[in-house]
Amino acid sequence: METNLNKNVIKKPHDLFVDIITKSYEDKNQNTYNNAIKNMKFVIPQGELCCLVGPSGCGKTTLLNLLSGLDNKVEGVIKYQDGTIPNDWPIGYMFQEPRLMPWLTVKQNVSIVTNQTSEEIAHSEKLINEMGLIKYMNAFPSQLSGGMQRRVAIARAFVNKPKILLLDEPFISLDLTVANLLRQMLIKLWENQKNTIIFVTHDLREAMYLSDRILFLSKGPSKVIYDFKINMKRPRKTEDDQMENLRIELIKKHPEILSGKI
Amino acid sequence: MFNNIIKNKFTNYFFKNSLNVRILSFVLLILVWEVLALLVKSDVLPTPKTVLIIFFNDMIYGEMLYHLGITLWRVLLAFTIAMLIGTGLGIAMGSKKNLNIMLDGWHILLLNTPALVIIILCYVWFGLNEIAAITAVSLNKIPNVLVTIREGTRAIDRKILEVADVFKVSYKKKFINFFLPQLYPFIMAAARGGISLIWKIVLVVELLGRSNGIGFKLNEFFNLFDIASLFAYTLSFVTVMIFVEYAIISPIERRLNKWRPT
Repeated sequence: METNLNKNVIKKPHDLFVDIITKSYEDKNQNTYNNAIKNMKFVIPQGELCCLVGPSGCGKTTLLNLLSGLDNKVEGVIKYQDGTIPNDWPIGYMFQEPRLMPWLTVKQNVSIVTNQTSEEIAHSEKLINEMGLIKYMNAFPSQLSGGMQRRVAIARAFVNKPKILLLDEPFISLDLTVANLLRQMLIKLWENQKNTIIFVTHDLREAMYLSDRILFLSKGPSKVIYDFKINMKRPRKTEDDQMENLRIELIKKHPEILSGKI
Repeated sequence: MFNNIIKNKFTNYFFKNSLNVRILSFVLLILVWEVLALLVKSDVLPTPKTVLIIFFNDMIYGEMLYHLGITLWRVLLAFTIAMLIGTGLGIAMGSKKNLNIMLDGWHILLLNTPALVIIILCYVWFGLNEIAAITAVSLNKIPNVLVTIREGTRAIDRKILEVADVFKVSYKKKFINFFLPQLYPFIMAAARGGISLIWKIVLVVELLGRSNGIGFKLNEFFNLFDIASLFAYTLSFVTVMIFVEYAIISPIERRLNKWRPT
């Protein structure tokens, strides 16, 4: 398997090294251990937008939980170049659902995850404004559409200026126009902050539109089966011939890559 | 025909305002009372006018306000203690399975012990004093609060707590801003039921073992067969409780429910 462990000439302090030997779950019904991840190894340079693509049930959410520190029972190493771990630094997270607090206003929902100093509250307002929600600053989530709620979730994910941003299929179940708008907004914020982003999706078109690089994962126990670089300039178009050709070429070469086989 | 239209317009207008209907209902109650009292013509059922005269007379020249104050103080104290202990135990038992199994039997025992038994035992064990009175009332209410809060704790949305975890919110903030707001509807339900149950039990406690308070006075009126005074004291207490409902509980509830879509 190819990684760019050695090729990465200029090392940055927050290049992320992931080397998981095994991550297993106890199956309480059968009293056995199931491996969710096995021999997964990759490096993500600081500031890269990397998409993880794999079949459902390939342990993507497990991996995100390990990266975010929600789960730390793992045999292996997850660390930055400077020796710290992701959990030592601010982390941004976006779930499949917006997961806003229904009892807080838009502004409170974003600032609640900060220490709420006056600068941080001002920064929350700035991000909400950039998301085009300035009119809804004091509205409650129930008054917003699904797309707007996700915009609030994007602002919240960026508000702590995280070193790393983890996104778990955040634009699933949205119509295409709204999803495209949100993707553009995500890219815009990322270009301002230059965080490392790990974006989980099973939509290859989405991955190609967003990312610098796609890591394809196998079925469980999951590992990286293909490392695909995308050298296309931004801003990219959502409907782009070059990108579509790239996608068709990839599928032709590896027809079963989306189901986790190569 | 023309008359009918005017009549309908008037009734429509009248019943649109819910306050009008409330006033009508109140006036009706007084009328029924008045008519019944006039028919019965006995000290057992005094007329509204007699009761009102005694009410104001005793309030201004008598001891009514003193006894009312004492009783309210006991209600407030017992209510606060019952809510604090009941909520604490409810959260603990709702979130810790083993603790719940451990304490559940005791809880059911207390829940099903008649109020009168608890009151008598408290007076026998602690003496005819204030501590015994307050303890007896609190013990009667704690199991009810516990049931409601435990149910609420079990219904907590873990996904919301996960948000606090990934954004590394402090433990205190997680409890106050992510956990407790989910419990508010349950706390309000417990408080509402709590107030009405507690003031009834406080009166019994006063009747059995205190030498002041509304309950003590009611016993006195019973012995003297002074039904008009009994009505007047009841009226004073009900007035205060209605005030508590409309001026304290309802506004708090409205504030907490501001975010809910109407």
